[in-house]
Amino acid sequence: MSIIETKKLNYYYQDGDMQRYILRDVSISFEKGQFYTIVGESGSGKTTFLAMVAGLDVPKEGQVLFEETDIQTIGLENYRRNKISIVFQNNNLVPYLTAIENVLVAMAITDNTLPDDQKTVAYNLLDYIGITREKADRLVSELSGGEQQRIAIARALATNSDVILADEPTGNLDEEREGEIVEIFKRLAHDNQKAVIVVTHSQEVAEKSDVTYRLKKGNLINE
Amino acid sequence: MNFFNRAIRSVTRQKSKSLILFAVIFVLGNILAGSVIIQQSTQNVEKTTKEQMGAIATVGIDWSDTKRQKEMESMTNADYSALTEKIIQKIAASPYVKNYDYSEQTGFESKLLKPYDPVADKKAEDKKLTDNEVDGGFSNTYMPIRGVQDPKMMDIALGKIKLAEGSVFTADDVKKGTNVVLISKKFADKNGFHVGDEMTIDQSTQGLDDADNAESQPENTKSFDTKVKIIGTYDVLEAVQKKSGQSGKASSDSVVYAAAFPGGSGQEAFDFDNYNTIYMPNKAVHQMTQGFRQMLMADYPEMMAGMSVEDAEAASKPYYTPIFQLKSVDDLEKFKADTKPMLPKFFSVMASIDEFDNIAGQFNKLSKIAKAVIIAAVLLSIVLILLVILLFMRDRKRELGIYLSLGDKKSNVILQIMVEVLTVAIIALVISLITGKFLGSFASEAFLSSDNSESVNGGMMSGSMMSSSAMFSTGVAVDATTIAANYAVSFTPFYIVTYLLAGLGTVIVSVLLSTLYIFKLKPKKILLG
Repeated sequence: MSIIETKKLNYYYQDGDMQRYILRDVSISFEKGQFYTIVGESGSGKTTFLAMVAGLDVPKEGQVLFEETDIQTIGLENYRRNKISIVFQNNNLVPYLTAIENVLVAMAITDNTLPDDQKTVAYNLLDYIGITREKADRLVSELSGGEQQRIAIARALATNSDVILADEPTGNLDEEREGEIVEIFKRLAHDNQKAVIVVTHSQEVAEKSDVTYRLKKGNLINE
Repeated sequence: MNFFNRAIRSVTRQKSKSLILFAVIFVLGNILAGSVIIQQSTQNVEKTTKEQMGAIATVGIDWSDTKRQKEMESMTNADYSALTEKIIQKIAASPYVKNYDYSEQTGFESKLLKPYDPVADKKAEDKKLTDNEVDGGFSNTYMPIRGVQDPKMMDIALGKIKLAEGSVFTADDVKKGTNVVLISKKFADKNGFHVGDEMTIDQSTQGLDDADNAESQPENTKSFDTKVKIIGTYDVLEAVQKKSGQSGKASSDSVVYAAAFPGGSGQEAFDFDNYNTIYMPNKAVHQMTQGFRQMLMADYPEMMAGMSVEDAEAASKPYYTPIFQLKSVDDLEKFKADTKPMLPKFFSVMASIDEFDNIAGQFNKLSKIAKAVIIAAVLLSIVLILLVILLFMRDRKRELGIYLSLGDKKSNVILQIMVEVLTVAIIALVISLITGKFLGSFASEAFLSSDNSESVNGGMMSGSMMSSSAMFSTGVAVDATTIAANYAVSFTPFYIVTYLLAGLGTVIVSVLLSTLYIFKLKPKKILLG
């Protein structure tokens, strides 16, 4: 059973009488335990697609279903808080908080049931994605780009949601770091039974995913 | 790591932002605190001074009212009706009246009695000089006589005088109009009188003669003599002397006061009256004044020429000045309203505190300025704090977007901003509570000193005129200096609570307005754009 399914997603901007389509009739379904990539050129609509699936925007037409329920029925805020986790290209961490505090913020926001000792869990998550305890207690602004992206992934894992969405998570990393992050995503999908959906322009990342969808001028092309 | 913990970390770890916000709130807080404390001090001074002036009212014709003066000039006998004992008693039945008396008042120039001059005689007492060696201080010799209806005596009840020796009047004395008097101890000592002695009140024609008339000689003056028995002596109470001394000193220094009372200080006249007033039953006063009037009619027929029968008849009736001591200063307005319909034409209720606004003009002005500054400071604070918060939120747009993308409730994000701003604001407001007090003291002192000099140079009377309570003979002279002495900028629980509520209220309004920005935030644009 798919965990997320998009049904004929349409998104466009009104330009006078014209409708400029960003996405046109995009229907995809995603399942747990799979590592998906959405690829496409700049302006292909992949980020807009991710925004729809992440509940950061609503389609003009069509639906995004989470376990067969329209996410607008769940409530976009509630959906983001409890059903999915997002990793952004620029990691988007709170700069005046330490690594561990950034993870704890997400844990405090979600309504999902989490273990009582959240701090220990957060340290373990950071350790799992390669952030030592010493670095976990540092302000994120004192850490490298790769380390910050790992912390963003740890934060995404902290809410215990089944879906991880990532927007160009390796865009600012070198090849070695990119490989490490991709490995983490694969592990999360295969070992932790998460549905990992990564939007990327990197062919290398796409090649390592289980399923790749390509968007071209807003239309879905199966690879 | 809930919104509260995030807020505290934001305040402590983003020090430069916190300091800027602190500085803005601190500066605005000082303006607000200064104006709140000035406003409050002016309110306190009004309350204290009005309490000092006493809840005293009288009924009479207000000659200071120019409109009333014009009406009186065109008044005919038919228009005039006197304030009778019956009306006074009806007014006194008011639930607001605690104590009352009414008095027929007169005075006389004496050739036999020596008045006690508080200034010159005090000097003589201190230096042990004889009368001849003393410089005449205040040249007045007109001694006031005050009729009494209440045997217990209103001036004793008001704390103006206290019985020194002998006794007060009996109900029988008042009823029959016995020729008995109560005089001040100083006056008695000056004239060598003791309780039980007989004294002659010689109402002389001195002063009625034309001063320019060369033929007018002191030996030509006549007098109407009334023999009275001294039943008691009184002391002028220290509180009255002290207040008189205090205000008199300041008044004497004033250029305006010198212009208002040429040849002597009005305060000295007030002190003079305090020591030389002769108290006697109303009926006795009336008999004495009528005797004097009849003597004048016989000896000076030209003075009475042109006087109508009605005028003569009106002059033969007693003219009473009532005095009502109310239960509370707060009752004065209600008492005035209730009394108004009972009054004869041209009469009005005049209260001791009526003069407050005239005397305390500069304080009222200061109070108005402070009120305006409070409103301006609150509005300015709302705008400036709002702008600073908005600026900071724009700077933290990405951070706020992260919280929203993580699914945090907008209310939590608003609460985080609220906690951050309030944490800084509370510290800034508490410190400005103290510094603002000094600012308020400094500002009000600067204002009052500049306004004082303006009053003197500009010839304004408000700064130094004695209050009506002095005129009412209530025993308490209140002038601008007394009011100034009551003006104190100090910490009071009311100031602290008012200021903190106003300050925090302002900050909360600013934060709430700024949260409109949070509602406009679109995490997609911020994080994926």
